[in-house]
Amino acid sequence: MIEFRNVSFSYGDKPVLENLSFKIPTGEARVIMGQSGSGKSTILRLILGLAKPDEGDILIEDTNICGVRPRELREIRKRIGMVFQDGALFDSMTVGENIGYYLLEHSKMRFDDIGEKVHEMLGFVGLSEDIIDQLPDELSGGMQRRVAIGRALLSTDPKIMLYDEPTTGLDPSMTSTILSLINRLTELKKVTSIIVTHQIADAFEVANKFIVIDSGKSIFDGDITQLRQADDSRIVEFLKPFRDSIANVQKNEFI
Amino acid sequence: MKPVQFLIEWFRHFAYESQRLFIFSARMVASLYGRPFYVNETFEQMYLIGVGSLFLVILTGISAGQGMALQFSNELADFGSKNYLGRIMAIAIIRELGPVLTGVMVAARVASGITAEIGSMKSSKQLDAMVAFGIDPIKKLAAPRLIALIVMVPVLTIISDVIAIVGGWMIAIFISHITSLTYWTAVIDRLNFGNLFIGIAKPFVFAFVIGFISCYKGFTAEGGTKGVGRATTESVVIASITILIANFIVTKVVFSFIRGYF
Repeated sequence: MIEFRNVSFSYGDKPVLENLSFKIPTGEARVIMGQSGSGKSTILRLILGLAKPDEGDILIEDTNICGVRPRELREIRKRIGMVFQDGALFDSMTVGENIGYYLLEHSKMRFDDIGEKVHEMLGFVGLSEDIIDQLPDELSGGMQRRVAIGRALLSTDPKIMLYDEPTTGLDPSMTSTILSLINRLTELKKVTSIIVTHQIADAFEVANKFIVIDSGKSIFDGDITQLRQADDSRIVEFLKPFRDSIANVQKNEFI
Repeated sequence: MKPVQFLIEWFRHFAYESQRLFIFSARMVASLYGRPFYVNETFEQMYLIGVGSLFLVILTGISAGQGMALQFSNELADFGSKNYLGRIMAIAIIRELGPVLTGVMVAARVASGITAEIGSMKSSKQLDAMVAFGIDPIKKLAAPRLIALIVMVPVLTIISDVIAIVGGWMIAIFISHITSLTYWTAVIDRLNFGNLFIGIAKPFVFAFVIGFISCYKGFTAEGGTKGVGRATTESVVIASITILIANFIVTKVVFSFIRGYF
Protein backbone atom coordinates (compact mmCIF):
# COMPACT_ATOMS: atom_id res chain seq x y z
CA MET A 1 0.00 0.00 0.00
CA ILE A 2 1.22 3.47 -0.90
CA GLU A 3 -0.35 6.54 0.63
CA PHE A 4 0.34 10.26 0.22
CA ARG A 5 -1.09 12.45 2.99
CA ASN A 6 -1.17 16.18 2.26
CA VAL A 7 2.25 16.12 0.60
CA SER A 8 3.80 19.39 -0.54
CA PHE A 9 7.15 19.69 -2.27
CA SER A 10 9.07 22.49 -3.93
CA TYR A 11 12.35 22.88 -5.82
CA GLY A 12 13.78 26.00 -4.18
CA ASP A 13 11.10 28.68 -4.42
CA LYS A 14 9.15 26.84 -7.10
CA PRO A 15 6.26 24.75 -5.71
CA VAL A 16 5.95 21.38 -7.48
CA LEU A 17 3.36 19.49 -5.40
CA GLU A 18 0.71 21.09 -3.22
CA ASN A 19 -1.23 19.26 -0.55
CA LEU A 20 -1.35 16.02 -2.56
CA SER A 21 -3.20 13.02 -1.13
CA PHE A 22 -3.97 9.60 -2.61
CA LYS A 23 -3.93 5.94 -1.63
CA ILE A 24 -3.01 2.91 -3.75
CA PRO A 25 -3.92 -0.48 -2.25
CA THR A 26 -1.49 -3.42 -2.49
CA GLY A 27 -1.47 -5.22 -5.83
CA GLU A 28 -3.23 -2.44 -7.75
CA ALA A 29 -1.94 -0.55 -10.76
CA ARG A 30 -2.47 3.19 -10.88
CA VAL A 31 -1.63 5.61 -13.65
CA ILE A 32 -0.61 9.15 -12.78
CA MET A 33 -1.33 11.44 -15.71
CA GLY A 34 -0.69 15.09 -16.31
CA GLN A 35 1.04 17.48 -18.59
CA SER A 36 4.84 17.78 -18.69
CA GLY A 37 6.11 19.64 -15.66
CA SER A 38 3.00 18.96 -13.58
CA GLY A 39 5.00 17.09 -10.90
CA LYS A 40 4.34 13.47 -11.91
CA SER A 41 7.95 12.26 -11.86
CA THR A 42 8.52 14.06 -8.56
CA ILE A 43 5.92 11.76 -6.99
CA LEU A 44 8.07 8.74 -7.94
CA ARG A 45 11.23 10.43 -6.61
CA LEU A 46 9.44 11.03 -3.30
CA ILE A 47 8.26 7.41 -3.06
CA LEU A 48 11.81 6.24 -3.66
CA GLY A 49 13.16 8.66 -1.05
CA LEU A 50 15.33 10.48 -3.60
CA ALA A 51 13.72 13.69 -2.35
CA LYS A 52 11.93 14.58 0.88
CA PRO A 53 8.61 16.40 1.01
CA ASP A 54 8.42 19.85 2.60
CA GLU A 55 5.19 18.86 4.33
CA GLY A 56 3.00 15.80 4.67
CA ASP A 57 3.57 12.06 5.04
CA ILE A 58 4.32 9.26 2.61
CA LEU A 59 3.39 5.79 3.82
CA ILE A 60 4.70 2.60 2.24
CA GLU A 61 3.18 -0.53 3.79
CA ASP A 62 2.29 1.53 6.89
CA THR A 63 5.83 2.91 7.30
CA ASN A 64 6.15 6.67 7.07
CA ILE A 65 9.29 7.04 4.93
CA CYS A 66 9.60 10.76 5.73
CA GLY A 67 10.90 10.10 9.21
CA VAL A 68 13.04 6.99 8.71
CA ARG A 69 16.81 6.75 8.93
CA PRO A 70 18.90 6.22 5.76
CA ARG A 71 19.49 2.57 6.67
CA GLU A 72 15.74 1.91 7.03
CA LEU A 73 15.13 3.79 3.81
CA ARG A 74 17.59 1.48 2.03
CA GLU A 75 15.62 -1.51 3.36
CA ILE A 76 12.34 0.00 2.09
CA ARG A 77 13.93 0.67 -1.30
CA LYS A 78 14.70 -3.04 -1.55
CA ARG A 79 10.96 -3.60 -1.97
CA ILE A 80 10.70 -1.03 -4.74
CA GLY A 81 11.73 -1.39 -8.39
CA MET A 82 12.08 1.73 -10.49
CA VAL A 83 12.15 2.03 -14.26
CA PHE A 84 13.50 5.49 -14.98
CA GLN A 85 12.57 7.63 -17.93
CA ASP A 86 14.83 6.58 -20.84
CA GLY A 87 15.99 3.61 -18.76
CA ALA A 88 18.88 5.34 -16.93
CA LEU A 89 21.04 2.31 -17.72
CA PHE A 90 24.69 2.50 -16.69
CA ASP A 91 26.19 3.34 -20.05
CA SER A 92 29.69 2.08 -19.29
CA MET A 93 28.39 -1.37 -18.38
CA THR A 94 27.14 -4.17 -20.60
CA VAL A 95 23.51 -5.28 -20.67
CA GLY A 96 24.41 -8.27 -18.49
CA GLU A 97 26.20 -6.11 -15.92
CA ASN A 98 23.26 -3.70 -15.87
CA ILE A 99 20.69 -6.41 -15.23
CA GLY A 100 22.84 -8.14 -12.63
CA TYR A 101 24.00 -4.86 -11.07
CA TYR A 102 22.19 -5.21 -7.75
CA LEU A 103 23.31 -8.79 -7.25
CA LEU A 104 26.90 -7.93 -8.20
CA GLU A 105 26.91 -5.11 -5.65
CA HIS A 106 24.93 -6.54 -2.77
CA SER A 107 24.78 -10.33 -2.90
CA LYS A 108 27.42 -12.94 -2.21
CA MET A 109 26.21 -15.09 -5.09
CA ARG A 110 28.78 -16.69 -7.36
CA PHE A 111 29.40 -14.91 -10.65
CA ASP A 112 28.07 -17.93 -12.60
CA ASP A 113 24.85 -17.97 -10.57
CA ILE A 114 24.32 -14.26 -11.22
CA GLY A 115 24.92 -14.92 -14.91
CA GLU A 116 22.25 -17.61 -14.86
CA LYS A 117 19.74 -15.23 -13.26
CA VAL A 118 20.60 -12.55 -15.81
CA HIS A 119 19.91 -15.03 -18.63
CA GLU A 120 16.55 -15.94 -17.07
CA MET A 121 15.61 -12.28 -16.72
CA LEU A 122 16.54 -11.53 -20.34
CA GLY A 123 14.11 -14.26 -21.34
CA PHE A 124 11.40 -12.90 -19.03
CA VAL A 125 11.58 -9.42 -20.58
CA GLY A 126 11.64 -10.94 -24.05
CA LEU A 127 15.20 -10.15 -25.05
CA SER A 128 17.70 -12.38 -26.81
CA GLU A 129 20.73 -13.63 -24.89
CA ASP A 130 22.91 -12.40 -27.75
CA ILE A 131 22.73 -8.82 -26.44
CA ILE A 132 24.19 -9.67 -23.03
CA ASP A 133 27.63 -8.27 -23.87
CA GLN A 134 26.38 -5.21 -25.73
CA LEU A 135 26.47 -1.70 -24.31
CA PRO A 136 23.15 0.15 -23.76
CA ASP A 137 24.01 2.62 -26.55
CA GLU A 138 23.93 -0.25 -29.05
CA LEU A 139 20.29 -1.09 -28.22
CA SER A 140 17.05 0.46 -29.45
CA GLY A 141 14.94 2.58 -27.08
CA GLY A 142 12.46 -0.25 -26.50
CA MET A 143 15.21 -2.77 -25.74
CA GLN A 144 16.80 -0.32 -23.31
CA ARG A 145 13.47 0.07 -21.53
CA ARG A 146 13.11 -3.73 -21.26
CA VAL A 147 16.65 -4.04 -19.90
CA ALA A 148 15.71 -1.36 -17.33
CA ILE A 149 12.63 -3.37 -16.31
CA GLY A 150 14.79 -6.51 -16.04
CA ARG A 151 17.33 -4.64 -13.92
CA ALA A 152 14.60 -3.40 -11.57
CA LEU A 153 13.05 -6.85 -11.26
CA LEU A 154 16.28 -8.73 -10.66
CA SER A 155 17.38 -6.23 -8.05
CA THR A 156 15.13 -6.98 -5.15
CA ASP A 157 12.11 -9.01 -6.23
CA PRO A 158 10.10 -5.82 -5.71
CA LYS A 159 6.63 -5.54 -4.23
CA ILE A 160 6.20 -2.09 -5.76
CA MET A 161 7.11 -1.11 -9.33
CA LEU A 162 7.43 2.50 -10.40
CA TYR A 163 7.51 3.35 -14.11
CA ASP A 164 8.47 6.84 -15.22
CA GLU A 165 7.19 7.48 -18.76
CA PRO A 166 7.86 3.86 -19.80
CA THR A 167 6.66 4.25 -23.39
CA THR A 168 7.72 7.78 -24.29
CA GLY A 169 9.59 7.90 -27.59
CA LEU A 170 8.85 4.30 -28.57
CA ASP A 171 7.16 3.08 -31.74
CA PRO A 172 3.66 1.51 -31.44
CA SER A 173 4.94 -2.07 -31.60
CA MET A 174 7.54 -1.52 -28.87
CA THR A 175 5.01 0.43 -26.80
CA SER A 176 2.65 -2.53 -26.96
CA THR A 177 5.47 -4.90 -25.87
CA ILE A 178 6.35 -2.72 -22.86
CA LEU A 179 2.71 -2.32 -21.83
CA SER A 180 2.04 -6.05 -21.99
CA LEU A 181 5.19 -6.62 -19.91
CA ILE A 182 3.90 -4.19 -17.27
CA ASN A 183 0.54 -5.99 -17.26
CA ARG A 184 2.23 -9.38 -16.99
CA LEU A 185 4.25 -8.18 -13.99
CA THR A 186 1.24 -6.76 -12.20
CA GLU A 187 -0.73 -9.99 -12.78
CA LEU A 188 1.97 -12.61 -12.19
CA LYS A 189 3.95 -11.01 -9.37
CA LYS A 190 1.03 -9.14 -7.78
CA VAL A 191 3.10 -5.99 -7.49
CA THR A 192 1.66 -2.57 -6.76
CA SER A 193 2.43 -0.50 -9.86
CA ILE A 194 2.52 3.22 -10.43
CA ILE A 195 2.86 4.28 -14.03
CA VAL A 196 3.60 7.92 -14.69
CA THR A 197 2.78 8.99 -18.22
CA HIS A 198 1.34 11.69 -20.39
CA GLN A 199 0.50 9.11 -23.09
CA ILE A 200 -3.22 8.82 -22.36
CA ALA A 201 -3.85 5.94 -24.78
CA ASP A 202 -1.18 3.85 -23.02
CA ALA A 203 -2.61 4.65 -19.60
CA PHE A 204 -5.86 2.85 -20.38
CA GLU A 205 -4.01 -0.36 -21.23
CA VAL A 206 -2.26 -0.82 -17.90
CA ALA A 207 -4.67 0.35 -15.19
CA ASN A 208 -8.29 0.97 -14.38
CA LYS A 209 -7.73 3.80 -11.94
CA PHE A 210 -6.15 7.13 -12.66
CA ILE A 211 -4.86 10.19 -10.90
CA VAL A 212 -4.65 13.41 -12.88
CA ILE A 213 -2.18 16.03 -11.68
CA ASP A 214 -2.32 19.65 -12.70
CA SER A 215 0.23 22.18 -11.43
CA GLY A 216 1.14 19.92 -8.52
CA LYS A 217 -2.45 19.35 -7.38
CA SER A 218 -4.56 16.23 -7.76
CA ILE A 219 -7.60 17.18 -9.81
CA PHE A 220 -8.92 13.65 -10.36
CA ASP A 221 -8.67 10.27 -8.63
CA GLY A 222 -11.01 7.59 -9.93
CA ASP A 223 -11.85 5.06 -12.64
CA ILE A 224 -12.63 5.40 -16.35
CA THR A 225 -16.36 5.91 -15.84
CA GLN A 226 -15.72 8.78 -13.47
CA LEU A 227 -13.09 10.12 -15.85
CA ARG A 228 -15.60 10.14 -18.71
CA GLN A 229 -18.08 12.03 -16.56
CA ALA A 230 -15.61 14.50 -15.10
CA ASP A 231 -16.70 18.06 -15.79
CA ASP A 232 -13.68 19.90 -14.38
CA SER A 233 -12.56 22.17 -17.21
CA ARG A 234 -8.88 21.29 -16.64
CA ILE A 235 -9.59 17.55 -17.03
CA VAL A 236 -11.79 18.15 -20.06
CA GLU A 237 -9.07 20.28 -21.64
CA PHE A 238 -6.34 17.74 -20.85
CA LEU A 239 -8.32 14.79 -22.23
CA LYS A 240 -9.75 16.59 -25.28
CA PRO A 241 -7.25 15.14 -27.80
CA PHE A 242 -7.98 11.62 -26.52
CA ARG A 243 -11.80 11.73 -26.41
CA ASP A 244 -12.06 8.85 -28.91
CA SER A 245 -9.63 6.62 -26.98
CA ILE A 246 -11.60 7.15 -23.77
CA ALA A 247 -14.91 6.44 -25.47
CA ASN A 248 -13.59 3.15 -26.86
CA VAL A 249 -12.29 1.83 -23.57
CA GLN A 250 -14.41 -0.86 -21.95
CA LYS A 251 -14.36 -0.76 -18.17
CA ASN A 252 -13.67 -4.48 -17.71
CA GLU A 253 -10.66 -4.48 -20.01
CA PHE A 254 -8.49 -3.45 -17.12
CA ILE A 255 -6.67 -5.32 -14.46
CA MET B 1 22.36 45.73 -11.59
CA LYS B 2 24.51 48.24 -9.70
CA PRO B 3 28.18 47.31 -9.16
CA VAL B 4 27.79 47.16 -5.37
CA GLN B 5 24.69 45.00 -5.67
CA PHE B 6 26.50 42.79 -8.16
CA LEU B 7 29.43 42.37 -5.76
CA ILE B 8 27.10 41.49 -2.87
CA GLU B 9 25.30 38.92 -5.03
CA TRP B 10 28.58 37.49 -6.25
CA PHE B 11 29.93 37.20 -2.71
CA ARG B 12 26.69 35.60 -1.48
CA HIS B 13 26.85 33.03 -4.30
CA PHE B 14 30.55 32.41 -3.61
CA ALA B 15 29.87 31.85 0.11
CA TYR B 16 26.96 29.49 -0.65
CA GLU B 17 28.99 27.45 -3.16
CA SER B 18 31.97 27.30 -0.79
CA GLN B 19 29.73 26.00 1.99
CA ARG B 20 28.26 23.33 -0.28
CA LEU B 21 31.74 22.35 -1.49
CA PHE B 22 32.94 22.07 2.11
CA ILE B 23 30.01 19.84 3.10
CA PHE B 24 30.44 17.70 -0.01
CA SER B 25 34.19 17.35 0.66
CA ALA B 26 33.49 16.28 4.24
CA ARG B 27 31.09 13.62 2.92
CA MET B 28 33.76 12.45 0.47
CA VAL B 29 36.32 12.07 3.25
CA ALA B 30 33.76 10.30 5.45
CA SER B 31 32.97 7.91 2.59
CA LEU B 32 36.59 6.68 2.63
CA TYR B 33 35.82 4.87 5.89
CA GLY B 34 33.67 1.80 6.28
CA ARG B 35 32.49 -0.88 3.91
CA PRO B 36 32.03 -1.50 1.06
CA PHE B 37 35.46 -0.74 -0.42
CA TYR B 38 35.47 -0.43 -4.19
CA VAL B 39 38.95 -1.83 -4.71
CA ASN B 40 38.61 -2.61 -8.43
CA GLU B 41 37.25 0.85 -9.20
CA THR B 42 40.11 2.43 -7.21
CA PHE B 43 42.81 0.50 -9.12
CA GLU B 44 41.06 1.29 -12.41
CA GLN B 45 41.10 5.00 -11.55
CA MET B 46 44.75 4.81 -10.46
CA TYR B 47 45.58 3.35 -13.86
CA LEU B 48 43.51 5.95 -15.74
CA ILE B 49 44.92 8.87 -13.77
CA GLY B 50 48.50 7.62 -13.39
CA VAL B 51 49.31 5.86 -16.62
CA GLY B 52 46.98 8.13 -18.60
CA SER B 53 48.75 11.28 -17.44
CA LEU B 54 52.28 9.89 -17.65
CA PHE B 55 53.11 11.04 -21.18
CA LEU B 56 51.75 14.52 -20.48
CA VAL B 57 53.78 14.82 -17.28
CA ILE B 58 56.99 13.58 -18.94
CA LEU B 59 56.56 15.98 -21.85
CA THR B 60 55.85 19.03 -19.70
CA GLY B 61 58.52 18.02 -17.17
CA ILE B 62 61.35 17.75 -19.69
CA SER B 63 60.32 20.93 -21.54
CA ALA B 64 60.03 22.97 -18.35
CA GLY B 65 63.27 21.55 -16.94
CA GLN B 66 65.25 22.33 -20.07
CA GLY B 67 63.72 25.78 -20.41
CA MET B 68 64.50 26.67 -16.83
CA ALA B 69 68.03 25.30 -17.02
CA LEU B 70 68.68 27.46 -20.11
CA GLN B 71 67.39 30.58 -18.39
CA PHE B 72 69.25 29.97 -15.15
CA SER B 73 72.55 29.00 -16.77
CA ASN B 74 72.58 32.25 -18.79
CA GLU B 75 71.96 34.34 -15.67
CA LEU B 76 74.41 32.38 -13.53
CA ALA B 77 77.10 32.67 -16.21
CA ASP B 78 77.03 36.48 -15.76
CA PHE B 79 78.09 35.97 -12.15
CA GLY B 80 80.48 33.13 -12.88
CA SER B 81 78.25 30.79 -10.85
CA LYS B 82 77.25 28.19 -13.47
CA ASN B 83 78.25 25.44 -11.04
CA TYR B 84 75.23 26.33 -8.94
CA LEU B 85 72.83 25.34 -11.75
CA GLY B 86 72.07 21.91 -10.23
CA ARG B 87 71.39 23.48 -6.86
CA ILE B 88 68.92 26.05 -8.24
CA MET B 89 67.27 23.47 -10.48
CA ALA B 90 66.68 21.11 -7.56
CA ILE B 91 65.17 23.83 -5.39
CA ALA B 92 63.00 25.36 -8.12
CA ILE B 93 61.72 22.06 -9.47
CA ILE B 94 61.23 20.05 -6.30
CA ARG B 95 59.74 22.88 -4.29
CA GLU B 96 57.70 24.71 -6.92
CA LEU B 97 57.67 23.84 -10.58
CA GLY B 98 57.26 20.05 -10.37
CA PRO B 99 54.27 20.04 -7.99
CA VAL B 100 52.49 23.03 -9.55
CA LEU B 101 53.03 21.98 -13.15
CA THR B 102 51.94 18.40 -12.44
CA GLY B 103 48.97 19.61 -10.39
CA VAL B 104 47.75 21.93 -13.13
CA MET B 105 48.31 19.31 -15.85
CA VAL B 106 46.43 16.63 -13.88
CA ALA B 107 43.69 19.18 -13.11
CA ALA B 108 43.34 19.95 -16.81
CA ARG B 109 43.28 16.33 -17.89
CA VAL B 110 41.70 14.45 -14.99
CA ALA B 111 39.37 17.01 -13.36
CA SER B 112 37.64 17.61 -16.68
CA GLY B 113 37.19 13.85 -17.19
CA ILE B 114 35.84 13.25 -13.69
CA THR B 115 33.37 16.16 -13.86
CA ALA B 116 32.18 15.25 -17.35
CA GLU B 117 31.70 11.57 -16.45
CA ILE B 118 29.84 12.14 -13.18
CA GLY B 119 27.90 15.09 -14.64
CA SER B 120 26.72 12.95 -17.57
CA MET B 121 25.67 10.20 -15.19
CA LYS B 122 23.67 12.73 -13.18
CA SER B 123 22.11 14.19 -16.30
CA SER B 124 20.96 10.73 -17.48
CA LYS B 125 19.61 9.83 -13.99
CA GLN B 126 22.24 7.10 -13.50
CA LEU B 127 23.08 8.54 -10.07
CA ASP B 128 19.41 8.31 -9.06
CA ALA B 129 19.38 4.72 -10.31
CA MET B 130 22.38 3.96 -8.09
CA VAL B 131 20.63 5.38 -5.05
CA ALA B 132 17.53 3.38 -5.95
CA PHE B 133 19.69 0.24 -5.86
CA GLY B 134 20.95 1.11 -2.37
CA ILE B 135 24.37 2.35 -3.49
CA ASP B 136 25.92 5.58 -2.23
CA PRO B 137 27.17 7.33 -5.40
CA ILE B 138 29.75 9.32 -3.43
CA LYS B 139 31.25 6.13 -2.05
CA LYS B 140 31.03 4.34 -5.39
CA LEU B 141 32.24 7.13 -7.69
CA ALA B 142 33.95 9.89 -5.71
CA ALA B 143 35.89 7.92 -3.08
CA PRO B 144 37.82 5.69 -5.55
CA ARG B 145 38.76 8.76 -7.61
CA LEU B 146 39.95 10.65 -4.53
CA ILE B 147 42.09 7.72 -3.34
CA ALA B 148 43.53 7.29 -6.83
CA LEU B 149 44.42 11.00 -6.97
CA ILE B 150 46.00 10.92 -3.49
CA VAL B 151 48.24 8.05 -4.60
CA MET B 152 48.96 9.06 -8.19
CA VAL B 153 49.48 12.85 -8.05
CA PRO B 154 52.53 12.55 -5.73
CA VAL B 155 53.88 9.69 -7.89
CA LEU B 156 53.43 11.75 -11.06
CA THR B 157 55.06 14.74 -9.35
CA ILE B 158 58.12 12.68 -8.41
CA ILE B 159 58.37 11.45 -12.02
CA SER B 160 57.98 15.03 -13.29
CA ASP B 161 60.68 16.26 -10.86
CA VAL B 162 63.13 13.58 -11.98
CA ILE B 163 62.44 14.20 -15.67
CA ALA B 164 62.78 17.99 -15.28
CA ILE B 165 66.08 17.66 -13.42
CA VAL B 166 67.34 15.23 -16.06
CA GLY B 167 66.27 17.79 -18.69
CA GLY B 168 68.30 20.41 -16.81
CA TRP B 169 71.28 18.03 -16.75
CA MET B 170 71.12 17.71 -20.55
CA ILE B 171 71.31 21.51 -20.88
CA ALA B 172 74.06 21.60 -18.26
CA ILE B 173 76.38 19.22 -20.11
CA PHE B 174 75.58 20.05 -23.77
CA ILE B 175 75.00 23.83 -23.67
CA SER B 176 76.35 25.20 -20.40
CA HIS B 177 79.32 22.80 -20.42
CA ILE B 178 79.11 21.93 -16.73
CA THR B 179 80.35 18.47 -15.78
CA SER B 180 77.84 15.82 -14.79
CA LEU B 181 79.56 15.41 -11.45
CA THR B 182 79.23 19.11 -10.63
CA TYR B 183 75.56 19.20 -11.67
CA TRP B 184 74.49 16.04 -9.80
CA THR B 185 76.55 16.86 -6.69
CA ALA B 186 74.72 20.21 -6.51
CA VAL B 187 71.35 18.54 -7.08
CA ILE B 188 71.95 15.88 -4.40
CA ASP B 189 73.16 18.56 -2.00
CA ARG B 190 69.67 20.13 -2.09
CA LEU B 191 67.76 16.85 -1.61
CA ASN B 192 67.33 17.61 2.08
CA PHE B 193 64.32 16.87 4.30
CA GLY B 194 62.75 20.32 3.89
CA ASN B 195 62.80 20.29 0.08
CA LEU B 196 61.58 16.70 -0.16
CA PHE B 197 58.84 17.31 2.41
CA ILE B 198 57.44 20.37 0.64
CA GLY B 199 57.80 18.58 -2.70
CA ILE B 200 55.56 15.74 -1.48
CA ALA B 201 53.18 17.79 0.71
CA LYS B 202 52.11 19.96 -2.19
CA PRO B 203 50.95 17.23 -4.59
CA PHE B 204 49.19 15.54 -1.69
CA VAL B 205 47.18 18.74 -1.06
CA PHE B 206 46.63 19.27 -4.80
CA ALA B 207 45.19 15.74 -5.07
CA PHE B 208 42.51 16.66 -2.53
CA VAL B 209 41.84 19.96 -4.35
CA ILE B 210 41.38 18.22 -7.72
CA GLY B 211 39.30 15.40 -6.22
CA PHE B 212 36.97 17.63 -4.20
CA ILE B 213 36.35 20.20 -6.93
CA SER B 214 35.99 17.84 -9.88
CA CYS B 215 33.60 15.47 -8.07
CA TYR B 216 31.58 18.34 -6.57
CA LYS B 217 31.16 19.96 -9.97
CA GLY B 218 30.08 16.62 -11.46
CA PHE B 219 27.56 15.85 -8.72
CA THR B 220 26.06 19.35 -8.89
CA ALA B 221 26.01 19.71 -12.70
CA GLU B 222 22.61 20.85 -13.91
CA GLY B 223 21.08 21.78 -17.24
CA GLY B 224 21.70 18.77 -19.49
CA THR B 225 24.68 18.50 -21.81
CA LYS B 226 25.19 22.27 -21.84
CA GLY B 227 25.28 22.27 -18.04
CA VAL B 228 27.77 19.38 -17.99
CA GLY B 229 30.01 21.30 -20.42
CA ARG B 230 29.83 24.41 -18.23
CA ALA B 231 30.54 22.38 -15.07
CA THR B 232 33.56 20.75 -16.77
CA THR B 233 35.07 24.11 -17.73
CA GLU B 234 34.43 25.53 -14.26
CA SER B 235 35.94 22.44 -12.69
CA VAL B 236 39.25 22.87 -14.55
CA VAL B 237 39.41 26.63 -14.00
CA ILE B 238 38.54 26.49 -10.28
CA ALA B 239 40.85 23.51 -9.64
CA SER B 240 43.78 25.24 -11.43
CA ILE B 241 43.29 28.53 -9.56
CA THR B 242 42.85 26.73 -6.23
CA ILE B 243 46.07 24.79 -6.86
CA LEU B 244 47.98 28.06 -7.32
CA ILE B 245 46.45 29.53 -4.15
CA ALA B 246 47.02 26.29 -2.20
CA ASN B 247 50.62 26.29 -3.46
CA PHE B 248 51.27 29.64 -1.79
CA ILE B 249 49.51 28.59 1.44
CA VAL B 250 51.40 25.28 1.71
CA THR B 251 54.71 27.05 1.03
CA LYS B 252 53.99 29.63 3.74
CA VAL B 253 52.81 27.02 6.27
CA VAL B 254 55.73 24.64 5.66
CA PHE B 255 58.25 27.48 5.82
CA SER B 256 56.74 28.63 9.09
CA PHE B 257 56.93 25.23 10.73
CA ILE B 258 60.10 23.57 9.41
CA ARG B 259 62.26 26.46 8.23
CA GLY B 260 65.32 24.93 9.87
CA TYR B 261 65.22 21.85 7.63
CA PHE B 262 65.86 23.67 4.34
